[in-house]
Amino acid sequence: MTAPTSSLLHDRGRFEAYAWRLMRLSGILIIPLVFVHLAIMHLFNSVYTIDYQWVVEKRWALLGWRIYDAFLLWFAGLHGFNGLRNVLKDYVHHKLVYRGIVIAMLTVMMAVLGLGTIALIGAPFSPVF
Amino acid sequence: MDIRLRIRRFNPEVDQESYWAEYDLKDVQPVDRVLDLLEHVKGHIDGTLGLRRSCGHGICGSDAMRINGQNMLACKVLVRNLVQGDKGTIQVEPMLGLPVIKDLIVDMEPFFEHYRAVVPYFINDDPAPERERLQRPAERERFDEGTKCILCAACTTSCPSFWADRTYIGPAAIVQAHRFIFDGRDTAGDSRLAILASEKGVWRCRTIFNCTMACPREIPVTQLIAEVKKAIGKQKP
Ligand code: SF4
Ligand code: FES
Repeated sequence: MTAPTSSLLHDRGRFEAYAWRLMRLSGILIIPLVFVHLAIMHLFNSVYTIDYQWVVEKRWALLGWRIYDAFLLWFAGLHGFNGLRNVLKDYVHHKLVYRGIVIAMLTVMMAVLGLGTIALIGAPFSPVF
Repeated sequence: MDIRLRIRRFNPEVDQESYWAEYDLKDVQPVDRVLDLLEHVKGHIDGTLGLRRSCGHGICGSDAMRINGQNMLACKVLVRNLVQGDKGTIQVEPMLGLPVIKDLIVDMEPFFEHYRAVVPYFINDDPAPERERLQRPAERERFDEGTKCILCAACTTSCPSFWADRTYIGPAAIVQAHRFIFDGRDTAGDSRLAILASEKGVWRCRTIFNCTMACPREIPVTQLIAEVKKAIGKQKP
């Protein structure tokens, strides 16, 4: 008997293995990240106390919070996008349609992550204190 | 006890669509198996009922079906596991995701095609030693769970990923592959991992755990799938 091959399935490289690891890692990390975020935004503060000044002075001014928000942004963004891509894969079996939707989703995700990152770095626009 | 047995029936020669048939059974014992009820219907009420069974003792894997919404072996589940008190209804349908041939009999060929895709047999081209290829108990233990599989298809046909995409290789085939991938005497593990790393392989699994709940042999199916995923991650590119 020699090594097996199968015509039913075709190799797709290692992308999915990395994506799976990313899902596990980000899944664990976003549990505390999201709950602390929720508590701060909705339990200890509310729409009545959170405004531009609050965000700039209490959050953006401290490097720690900016790093925290960057983690939340990137891990939740990548986790959510990849999860959606997997659900899509279950139901959209037409290759071109699938690819089209993924490209559209990817564009939205990069826009969201890009804008969020620009806001967190504060360049080229820094917030007004 | 009195049991109303609802069976999803379909005869391709007569029926356009499947329908629920109801049979009221008297004097059912709590320790009767669902298979006993089905055979009572077939033997005494309606001989045209189609079902598969062979051993009657949870060994052959031929009578997996959807009982009260969960995949089970009809020969392994007792009436008292499903109905408390002295009256109740039990609902029996063919497994989902495979074409129905007649009544409770499904076409297993798509399932076996996926099974064959993982090359589920021992491969080692080295000349065999004089007596046997020895193995330590711990090495044998490593793939023990997978050896218990009876290919009943209860896991694969309980999997929502499989329902959504019938080309997904499915939990049973992954369990079978696991049995050889983690057998140190076998030499084709890497090629099997490559097959399972492909588009319709393990990455379609969304860790839903239906397979683990459904397996009549109590194989930790989801765990075995995760072990294969990890092994793929560790493989050299
Ligand atoms: S893993 Fe369990 S449920 Fe799946 S085919 Fe094997 S025995 Fe049946
Ligand atoms: S009849 Fe053999 S497993 Fe149920």
